[in-house]
Amino acid sequence: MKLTVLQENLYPALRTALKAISSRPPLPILNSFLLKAEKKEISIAATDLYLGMTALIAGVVEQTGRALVPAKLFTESVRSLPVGKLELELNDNTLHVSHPAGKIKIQCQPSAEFPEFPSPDGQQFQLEPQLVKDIDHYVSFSVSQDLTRQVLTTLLFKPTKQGLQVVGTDGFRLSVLTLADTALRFEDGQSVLVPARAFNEISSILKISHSGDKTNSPQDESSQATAGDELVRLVVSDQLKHIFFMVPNLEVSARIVEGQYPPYNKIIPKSFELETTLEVAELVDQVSRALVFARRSSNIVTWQFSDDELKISAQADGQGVFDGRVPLGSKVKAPVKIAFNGRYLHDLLARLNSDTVWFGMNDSLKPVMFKEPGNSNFQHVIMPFRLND
Amino acid sequence: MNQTSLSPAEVKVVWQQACAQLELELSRAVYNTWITSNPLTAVTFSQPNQADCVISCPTAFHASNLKKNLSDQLGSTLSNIIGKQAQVSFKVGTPVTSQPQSAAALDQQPARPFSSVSPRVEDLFSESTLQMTALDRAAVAARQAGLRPDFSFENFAVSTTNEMAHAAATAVSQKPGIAYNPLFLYGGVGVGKTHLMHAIGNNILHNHPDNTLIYCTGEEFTNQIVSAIQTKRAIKFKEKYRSTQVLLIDDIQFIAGKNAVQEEFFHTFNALTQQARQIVLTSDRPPQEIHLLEDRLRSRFEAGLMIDIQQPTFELRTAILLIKAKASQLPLSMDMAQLIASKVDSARKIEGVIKLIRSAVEFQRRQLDAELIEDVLKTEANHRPTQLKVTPQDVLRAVANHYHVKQTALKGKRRVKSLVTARHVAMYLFKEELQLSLVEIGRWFSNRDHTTALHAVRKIEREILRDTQIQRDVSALRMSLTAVSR
Repeated sequence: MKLTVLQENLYPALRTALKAISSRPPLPILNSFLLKAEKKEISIAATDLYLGMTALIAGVVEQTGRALVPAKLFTESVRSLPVGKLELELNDNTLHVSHPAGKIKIQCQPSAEFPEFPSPDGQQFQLEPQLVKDIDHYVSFSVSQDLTRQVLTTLLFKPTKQGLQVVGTDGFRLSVLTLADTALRFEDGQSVLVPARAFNEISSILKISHSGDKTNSPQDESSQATAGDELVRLVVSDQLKHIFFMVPNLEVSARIVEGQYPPYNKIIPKSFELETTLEVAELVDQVSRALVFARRSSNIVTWQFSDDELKISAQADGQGVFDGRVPLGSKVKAPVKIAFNGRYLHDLLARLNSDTVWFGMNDSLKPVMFKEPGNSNFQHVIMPFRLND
Repeated sequence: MNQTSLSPAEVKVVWQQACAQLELELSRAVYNTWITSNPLTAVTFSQPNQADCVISCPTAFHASNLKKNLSDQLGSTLSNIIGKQAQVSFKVGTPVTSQPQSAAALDQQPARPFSSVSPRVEDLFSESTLQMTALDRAAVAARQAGLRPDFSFENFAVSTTNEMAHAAATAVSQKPGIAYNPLFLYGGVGVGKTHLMHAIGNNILHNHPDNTLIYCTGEEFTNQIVSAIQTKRAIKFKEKYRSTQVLLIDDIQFIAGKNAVQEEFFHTFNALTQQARQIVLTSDRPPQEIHLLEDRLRSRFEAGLMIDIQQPTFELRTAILLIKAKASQLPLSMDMAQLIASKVDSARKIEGVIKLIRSAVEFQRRQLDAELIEDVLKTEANHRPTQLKVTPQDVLRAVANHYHVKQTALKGKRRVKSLVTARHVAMYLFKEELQLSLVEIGRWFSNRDHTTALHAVRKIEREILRDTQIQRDVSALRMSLTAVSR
């Protein structure tokens, strides 16, 4: 195997593929990338047997071949090199990387032992990049990171009468995005639990290439540059219980999670004692200020509605307090106090696209709801803190 | 061996033997990754000398690689153990090894706080949150349907006169569409038909907040049809009524004699009962007594459970008084409740009396005692709702019809028991509704003495408080008199 690539093309691909490498893999060879040089394309593949990723790299192949390279060592060593041409050559299970700055030799393993990737056959769909971006923007941030509750680490794709609902929750907050007109209709109206990890990789690739459109230098006209406008191919295999996302330079596949998604529809409040509309910019600023203090004590940010004003406050135990005010559009019927995890508020408010945000609540222990006025497709629910006093 | 498959226990034994062999043949990492997490889950014998073995894999990665690398080895090992040619297939199924892990993790969760960042945040999907939002939703749904929240089973007093109705209503509200369908409640004014109907609705929504429910009166149903036809939205009306999961119609007797409305109701009724959707109806009289009701409707009503709610007895009235007093936070004693119950005959009037007492206590700052109650009852008596405008002949005709006796016999001298009761009731109504003098009353009934009339009136006044039959008779007569009243 012999090939030439640019460091600035190779490193991002390695960094992406590294996300599929488990910290404690069941097999030692799963600590490695499969580097494949074929006639027309160079690819890097990695898997932990649940998530699989294959990234394509632009480059020139002189001699085809395969190598099983230790993932972390390879990535770190490539990162350490300055941008420029890299020559990669495999000799006797040793990968030679040559760069004007220095030479690297990495011991490889026989590539035959690397697991085969499942082949994508099943229901085929095409996703608009905008749809992927919307899901990423409105839903992904609510998904749990806690691996002990696997179902909550997924995005639920559920067909409903109103359209396809994409749901994410970590058990304390909930995002529901309803997509009224989408071609995404699974067979038999089934719901699919997609590991958020896999989805996030695809959406971040779309993001990189999208921003890349504006900033990249003309010389870097790899396939990445066009990915922002390309459709995302989606394959759902019922038989293999596997889902595949494909953009031109990356393929991510993952095991579909099986399990009971929490009854999210049941906890979305339907009526509200207090409804108001707030200025987003002002609110984000005040919440950020409150967070400076809240961060030092469990992130508690208190909202007090009284008359035509919202008081936002937070305190750091024995260190200091913050008090801020936001005017309300209308008067509230009765004063209410409610406390939130300030991080949840900030996560939501900072990503809203609208100038104002609609807020509805019942009492200080019940879930509250946020919506963008003029966007009935997005609902966000947050569970408040239980106040002691 | 005629077996077509191995039992789960046998499969387990086979797999254990296979594991023992494979463990020796394979390296530890390979064995752990590809064998232990991919167990044999089924063995079937489709042909005499062949065993179809199914291996369950946690992911498609496992399935495709087992197939590629270890299929032959698994096949030969299993063939040796089972003693038949093993055909191995790989299926992606529930991850077996990770399952107990995650279950254990879930068990541990209550022990540690849910999240280190937010120690006092209740889980969004905790039992209490789900319950709380369910209650809220039920309340919203009930409000939208027009159900009164205070009409619940908890504050419905039960005694012999209405225990059947209460039991049936409870059963219906717990198993809508299954227990009794349709449920037909009938009885005079103020016996609690509407209360029970609201309670059924409230309870169904409480248990299933997402159920669709329509509550309306027979009159509203009629008006809606008329306006739907006028505005050419009949289809929408039909969709609305025929897709509901629970239909509650109060005072269904109102649709009698209105052909188009009965027709529409008939189809709605059929559509709903076919899908086992619950229907509850109330009426002031049983279906067979609703005049101008189409026979097909009558027979359908009769096919369900029909329950008669009778006028409340003295004890029940006392119980109702105590419940209502408690609801409006009046510390009414048992003696006072009994005093009122002995003077007031319908449950609806009880509500009025309670309101009067409450306003006297709240606004006039009066002491709640027997004297106050006497005063209130006096004013209540003066406030007699509407004066019936009927002639003595009307009363005689109504009473004679009700008791199935001849008017002449009623006025005559015979003293058969059935005649006597009817005659007494007639005299009572002459006094109560027509305010005739005792002498005059006597004159209407074959020139009887005014003391006879007095005796009759007093007797009925006494009995009306104790005897449910008399109560029902009198209230039914009042109702039919109201109908002919000008």
